[in-house]
Amino acid sequence: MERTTEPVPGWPALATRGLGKDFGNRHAVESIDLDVPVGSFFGLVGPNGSGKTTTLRMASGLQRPDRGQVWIAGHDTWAEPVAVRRLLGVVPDPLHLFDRLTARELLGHLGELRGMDRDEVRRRSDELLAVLGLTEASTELVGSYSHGMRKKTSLAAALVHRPAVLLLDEPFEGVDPVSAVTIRGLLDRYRAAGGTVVFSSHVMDLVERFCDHVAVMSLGRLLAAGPIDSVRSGRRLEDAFIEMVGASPVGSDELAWLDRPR
Amino acid sequence: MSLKWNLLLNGLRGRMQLRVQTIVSLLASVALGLFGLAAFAGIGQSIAHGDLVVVIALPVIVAGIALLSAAAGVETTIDLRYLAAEPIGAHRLGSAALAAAVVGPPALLAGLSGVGLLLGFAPGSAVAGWVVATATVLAWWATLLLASRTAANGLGVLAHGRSRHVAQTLAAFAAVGMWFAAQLGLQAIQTWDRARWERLAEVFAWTPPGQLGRALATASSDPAGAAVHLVLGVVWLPLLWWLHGVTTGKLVTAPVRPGTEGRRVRTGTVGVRAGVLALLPPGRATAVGARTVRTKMRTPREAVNTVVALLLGMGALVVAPMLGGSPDGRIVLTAGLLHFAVLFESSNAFGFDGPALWMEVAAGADGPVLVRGKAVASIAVMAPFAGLLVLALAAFHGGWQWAPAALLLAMGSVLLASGASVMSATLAPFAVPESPNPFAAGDAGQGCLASLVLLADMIVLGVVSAPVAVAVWWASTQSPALTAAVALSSPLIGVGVLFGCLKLSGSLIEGREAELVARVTPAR
Repeated sequence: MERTTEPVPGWPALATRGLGKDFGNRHAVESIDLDVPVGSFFGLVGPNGSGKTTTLRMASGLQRPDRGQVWIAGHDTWAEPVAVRRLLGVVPDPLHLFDRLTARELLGHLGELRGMDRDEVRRRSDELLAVLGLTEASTELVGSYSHGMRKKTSLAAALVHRPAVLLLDEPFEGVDPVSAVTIRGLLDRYRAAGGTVVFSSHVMDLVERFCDHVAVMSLGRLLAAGPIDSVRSGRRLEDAFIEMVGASPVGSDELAWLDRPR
Repeated sequence: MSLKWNLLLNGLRGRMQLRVQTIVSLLASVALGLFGLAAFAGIGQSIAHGDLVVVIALPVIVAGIALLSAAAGVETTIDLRYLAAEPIGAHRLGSAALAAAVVGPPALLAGLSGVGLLLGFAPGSAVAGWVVATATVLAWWATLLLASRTAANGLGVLAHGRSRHVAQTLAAFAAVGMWFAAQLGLQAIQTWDRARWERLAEVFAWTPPGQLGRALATASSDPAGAAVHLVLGVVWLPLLWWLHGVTTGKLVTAPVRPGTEGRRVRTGTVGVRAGVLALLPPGRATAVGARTVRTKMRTPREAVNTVVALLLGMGALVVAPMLGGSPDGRIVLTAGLLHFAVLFESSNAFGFDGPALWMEVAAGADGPVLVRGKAVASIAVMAPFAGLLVLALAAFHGGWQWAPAALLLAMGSVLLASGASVMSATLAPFAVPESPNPFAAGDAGQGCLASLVLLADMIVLGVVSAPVAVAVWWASTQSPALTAAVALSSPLIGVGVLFGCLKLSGSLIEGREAELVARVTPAR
């Protein structure tokens, strides 16, 4: 019997208060207050090492925070972990899948763990694998898949139970443009039915095309968050981002050896 | 070498588990090295047939180290795949790997043993004798290094593509073969006379390491003759070096997840339940158990682990004939000694899952579900085997009247050890590093740590089982029926211990699943 948890009415899809994590003496995430509206396509952007992945891992229950709280649809991730896992679908980065299972076995296994009906799991798996172009490969071991195929398998695994909130860490990295369009269509349908997508990326163009809300992180701090139009204030998102984060262009006298032929 | 040195230092400064592993492996290497030093010095100085034993011992050790490397996948902590893009040829890369292997615990062990050889056979020599003996020990070190690395590489190469089953079989039988060879060797040392040692030494003298043994044995009395033996002993090293370079080159460009390439699998249309696994009742714990068995059988390192455990469990079938045979039908009762086999098979169940364990955690498998799943997997693999073992023992050695008691003891052993292995998997999970060699365990001390955990488990299980063993032994002197009645306590105790362990380990992990996943994730 599938166990279900309902979102708490009136709560954001994801909320954090004072959420933080340290690695040794370094603040990976300082103290983040963030609200992700229900039904939004929320982009978390920032340069490498800005704390995006750590934030998503803390939100999904994969990494314990050192301070603060995080709620998924009104349920505390760390106080009610099982309830939160029922509400969540996660694609982490880096990806770790059971390499010695086929995609079909993997989806079926996760469906069984979630207590779903076998026929329903089979139907959803078939459809997801077909839409993501994985039907042909679905009887091969996941370990033999390309990076993009692994991403799509992980996305199928995150969607099969139709979660209330999807947390996707760099979901489009390594995915070909055709598959990216397919994934976009799939996520749009999911969101149109009330689902919430939170995804991290450092590709501004992607975030600008997909998202209606955005948060900008740098050095573990939240620099801005809100509807994308208010964050970019009439500029391109990339320009707004560089202005907030501060670019460090290469000086003309630096790396001079690159200008010389071998 | 400097990279390996820095990795070793980082091991001593890293997170707690890595520190413990590194320190344990250093201490174990020093202890075993000192044992080797004392043994070789003793063979040279005080054993009557020392000059013959060394001729036999050196080739046997080279073969043993090669088999061990093949079975355990001993390799350096440096993943050569990261260096594959550098403008370095395969042979130079291989040489770098060999140089790196000189730094670390295994080299410490070999170094101390070599010093033992020198102390055993060089004293009393003239300068020339010392020179030849020293050169022979250096050649011995080079032989060990090349033989072990080439065997590990060779098996790693074999493990890709179509030959993976051959590699799995080789690795499994290498470990078991070593165990039986050690048993036979111990028996031989105690009972053989000089004539038998001479005949065997004549055979081993045809091998290059045997020639090194001859060189050591004659270094003090005939340095010139010893020098000739030394030359004959090193003559195959260029060939080994070339083979090592070739296998290194193939290994660094091998697939990242070996044994999975283009492999189609026909299983159930939903989930991992097919064949025998479909017989398991539905439920989340049995789903985790079925998945564990499925991935275990498809992963070379784990499959070998399971095969070796089953073969070790069959030890009772061959112990009696090896020790001269036993007409006593009560040998069937030794099927109740499956503790070690069960522990060997599943005491690092979460570590073998690795970071992919997060998928089950994210799908709602909490601590209690995970530990019950691991117990299901362990029992599902070992219980049928325990039944077959009882039947085989009764068929081979007679004593069918003891079979009911033996079956009860074997089931008790499986339940008891499954509980203990779940506790070990919970308390001391260790990450198994990913490697292009699917048999590799790395040389960062995981093996030493695993051995310590197994030893601790065996001590605890020995204490728990001792009263049952004593009672069964006493009952067996009375009648088979009384023995069966007493043996009934074994599965009862087994069930009690299993449930206790599941309760405790489940509560230890519950709410801390993220930490468990972190502990079984190899450091990047």
